[in-house]
Parts: sequence; C-alpha cells; structure tokens
Amino acid sequence: MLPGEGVSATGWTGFTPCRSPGYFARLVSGADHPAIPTLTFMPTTAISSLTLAPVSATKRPDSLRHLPVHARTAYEQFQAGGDPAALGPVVLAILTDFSPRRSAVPLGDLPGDTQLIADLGFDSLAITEVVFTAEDLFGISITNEEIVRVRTLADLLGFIQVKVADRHMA
Amino acid sequence: MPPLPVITGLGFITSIGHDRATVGRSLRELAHGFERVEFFGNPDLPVKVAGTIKGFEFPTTNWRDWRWPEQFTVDRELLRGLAPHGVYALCALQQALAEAGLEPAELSDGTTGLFCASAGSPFMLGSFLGQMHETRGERGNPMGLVSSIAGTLNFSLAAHYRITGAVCGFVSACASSSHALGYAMDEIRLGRQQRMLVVGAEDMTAESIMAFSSLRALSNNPDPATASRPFDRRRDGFVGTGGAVAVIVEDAALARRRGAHILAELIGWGQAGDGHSVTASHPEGAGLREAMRRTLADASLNATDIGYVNAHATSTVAGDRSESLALHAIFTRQGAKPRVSSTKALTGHGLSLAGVMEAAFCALAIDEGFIPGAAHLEEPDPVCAGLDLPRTTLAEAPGIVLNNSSGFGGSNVCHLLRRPA
Repeated sequence: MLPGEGVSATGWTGFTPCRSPGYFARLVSGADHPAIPTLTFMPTTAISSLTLAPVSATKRPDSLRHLPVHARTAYEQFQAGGDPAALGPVVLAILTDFSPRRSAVPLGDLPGDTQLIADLGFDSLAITEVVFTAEDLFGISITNEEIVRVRTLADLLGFIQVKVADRHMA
Repeated sequence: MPPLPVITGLGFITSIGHDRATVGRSLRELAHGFERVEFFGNPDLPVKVAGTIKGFEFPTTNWRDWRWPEQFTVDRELLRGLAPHGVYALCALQQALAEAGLEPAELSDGTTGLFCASAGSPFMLGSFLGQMHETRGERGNPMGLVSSIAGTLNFSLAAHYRITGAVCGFVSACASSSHALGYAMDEIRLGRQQRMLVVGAEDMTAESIMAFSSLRALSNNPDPATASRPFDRRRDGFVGTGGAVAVIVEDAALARRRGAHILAELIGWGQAGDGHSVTASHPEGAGLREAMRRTLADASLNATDIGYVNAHATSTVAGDRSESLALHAIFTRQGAKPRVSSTKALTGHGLSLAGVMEAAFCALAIDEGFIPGAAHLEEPDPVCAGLDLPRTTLAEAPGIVLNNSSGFGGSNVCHLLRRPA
C-alpha cells in the first residue's frame, strides 16, 4: 500500500483511542504492523458538502514532483473540480515526504491522534515545511500561531480542510 | 607535561578519493582527480576542468534529488538542513571517527569540540533567495537559511553529533580550515578541550567555483592532465574543487590512554596578515613569510629542521610567485632546502577546505612515510630556482612537515606536524 492509500474518505473524525506506551515506536519500526487495523475515516460533512474551486495561486513546480502518483492524481482531481476527497491523500503524501523517519506503516493507517512530534519524530521546522507546501498547493495561508496548534495527524488534515473551505467561502 | 594535540583520525571526500587508502594511492602515484566539466550548461565558458567529487550527485537544490555512494549513511532528518558540502562533511566525519575508534555517543560529554570551515553554499543560498524574490518575501524554505549560510557545517554537525564542547565556524576564505585546525590545536593546548573535530568542506558547484572566474583566477587550460600545475612557468590559474576532510585532534595523553593510533603530532602553528590587498597576495609573500617564521618560533624550530613543505601554491601566476619568494626568505637564505610540493596539482584548490585537506595529506604522508611529488611540473618558474621540487613522490619519511595556506585579504596560516615520538 502506498502512503495515503489507507484514507478512504475525506475526514479524520473517526479516531481510535490512544495506545499503550511504546506503541508508536513499535508501529514505526513495524513490530506491531500485522496487528494494526485499517482505519476508516468518516466523511466530514461540513467539508464534503462543498464544491471547492480550483486553486489559482502560483505553484512551484517542485511541490508535487516527488509525491507518489496517487497523490499527484488526487491533486489533479482537486485542481480540476475542487474535489475535497482529494485533500487527504495529498496531505498525507506531503507528510510522508517530509517525515524524518521512514515509517513501516503508511501514515494513512495510523490513528488520527498520532502526534507529529512525539510519535513521528517531526520537529517544528519540518511541520512548517509541510504547512508551506500545503499553502502553495492549496492556495491557503496559515499563520505562525495556527501552525503551533497543529499537533496530530487529524489536526493537520482537518485544519487544511477548514482553511481550504474558508478560502472557498471567501 | 602540557597537552599535545595529535591526529588520530582522518576522513576524505576528495577529488582524488573517498577513503584513506585511495587518497594515499593517488598521492603516491600522482593520480589527479580532474575531469572535463561544463558549468552552467554553457559550452562557451573558458573554464573546462574541475576536481570532481565522484559518486555524489546534486542536480538540484532539492535534497530528494541528491545521491551519494552507498557505503555512506546520511540520515533523512539531517539531510533537510544540509548543503551539498554538508553531505560530503558527514561522510568524511564518519570515516574519521571510525579510524579514531570513536562512537558518536562519546562526543557529547563536553570534552569534545567542533571547528568547521566552509564558505557556505552559494548554490543553496541562490535558490533560497530566488524563492524569496519570486514570492516577494512571502515564502522561504524553512531550512533555507541553515543549509546555505557560512556556518551551515557547524550548525548541522554540532546538532547531529550532540556536541556540547566548543563549536565554531571559521571564515577566512582559502585559509579557513587552517584557522580551524590552528585554533583547535589551541583548544587542546590550553586544556579547554580534550578532543576537537575539525572539518573543512566546500560545494563542488558552478556557483562556488565559477565565482572565481570573475576574478580571472581560474585556469582556462582544457587539459585535465596539465590544468593545475603549481610552480610551472606555464601555469594560468587554479582548478576548483570541493569535497570535505575531517580530522580528529586529541590530547596525546587521552589518545594513548584509549590506545588510539597517532598519525602525527601537531607541534606548532602561526598566522600573519599581508596588510596588502583584498584579493592578491603580497608580491613578495610578506605575510606568508611572517606566518612561517611565527610557526617555526611556536615550535622552537629552525628552518633547517623542516623536511617537507606542503605549499599553498594554487597554480596562479601571482600566488605561486609570492609563495616561492616567501619560501626563499625562510629557507633558502638560511641554507635550508626542504622538499616542496603542492598537492593542489592533484586535487585542485578546495578553497575553505584546502588547509585541513592538506594537513590531512601531511599526516598521511608522515604516517605512511612518503613525500608527495610536485605533480604536473615540467618547466619550473625561474623564481623557484633553488627550491627542491621533487617531480615524483618520494618513498622517504618527510620528517617535520610545514603546511601553508593563504586566503583573501592576505590571511596566511601555517601548521607544523611530525611523526609521534
């Protein structure tokens, strides 16, 4: 399974509970991989009901070049029709690209409350790089104050979805 | 007994090899590391040759496109904040630590420091600033600054190896890593640190090297076999190179307690300014002459004690002449005649990297008992008359070795090395 393919819908509203200490370390190392259930992410109604306009902002050609094919395809869908379902795979692919460690488990298979710093080893600059890439691709603007509130996988995806929706509403 | 700095580990990413054995063989066989290159994709440029770093590829400023030889490990987390020369440096430092028998965990107790030298990365900085201009300041790669400015080496390596001792970067152009090594010696001699990691590195990119074409300092000779020929009458400029060299410097007492192999003792260093020009060396080599004199005094040695001089000589018309005159003033006039060669004939000029690279070559020569020959020298400049410039590598112990470096602004630095007692 490629990174991001575990996300089957557009939202991160269905979370599994936090696991035992060391769970994520084992998860990243692959020790617990066979036991991990595939998560199903429930649609976020507020987002999926919208039809989003394509991004018109200027994008650096480098932003997409290193993402896997499925993410680039999803992004093209988003660009063509503002399909909000395409956001999840793209954001997860960006996260995977900037991830400081290669995870044995696709990020899309992890619980939404997985901590970017504590569990996945991101530092604040890496999160900023993810956010900047998302800004470029989705034509949104995220402030420093907003960046520091992003702690989990779900925070990030939900936050970007809201931002994209806000941009559309504006 | 006062602390004595000694060298216990070397690491090389150079145009003439990426490990000690290959570098040693290249120095013995006088095998150069030059290839034909085309900078900026422009076949009309007169500069055709460079000291390339084989097996490493940096086609863009995006680290995802970078490649390095499979024997080296570069952490993905670290890569994001590195310039190309940071990748070289990491690979060189891994080798040096392995040779010294040190684990990274042994470097974090505050007794180990890190001194680095590079000019930063014009390649990365140009891209970063281009992005900011393009977006009128609204976007910038968060790692753009630390991966590009002078100091990028010490930022990245100090954080990666958890160095809690002295950490500093040195910027004196082509004398930078010689300053780093000299001040590292002082850290040991003053008892401030027990061990110093000294790393010099430079990108091997058009942005780093072609800037010197604007100064008319680069060779336009298209033949890799003769483009770099220090002290030769037909020399026409230097050949650029990049890479990285790491040297582990320790207090001799600590090295002996650990059972580490000591390659060479660092017994003196000195420096002096030309007080003359921002780019050109003093026409009579006044600053370098004084730097050599101070270095000999630092070790309480006479000119006649020196067996080999690794000259700074870059193959420029003016620079080699200045150094020749300085060598005559220190040695010939005292009746001393050490062997003299410039290994830049093989490597090219590594800029900030040059000083520590050549100090490492000197340590290698001392440890293995040879004197690198003056490669590519066919018609010595008449100003060199009286200097002993061996045309081939000599299978003889070099004795006490003097290593010269000079940089912009007339900054001159020398080191003295000898075989451990």
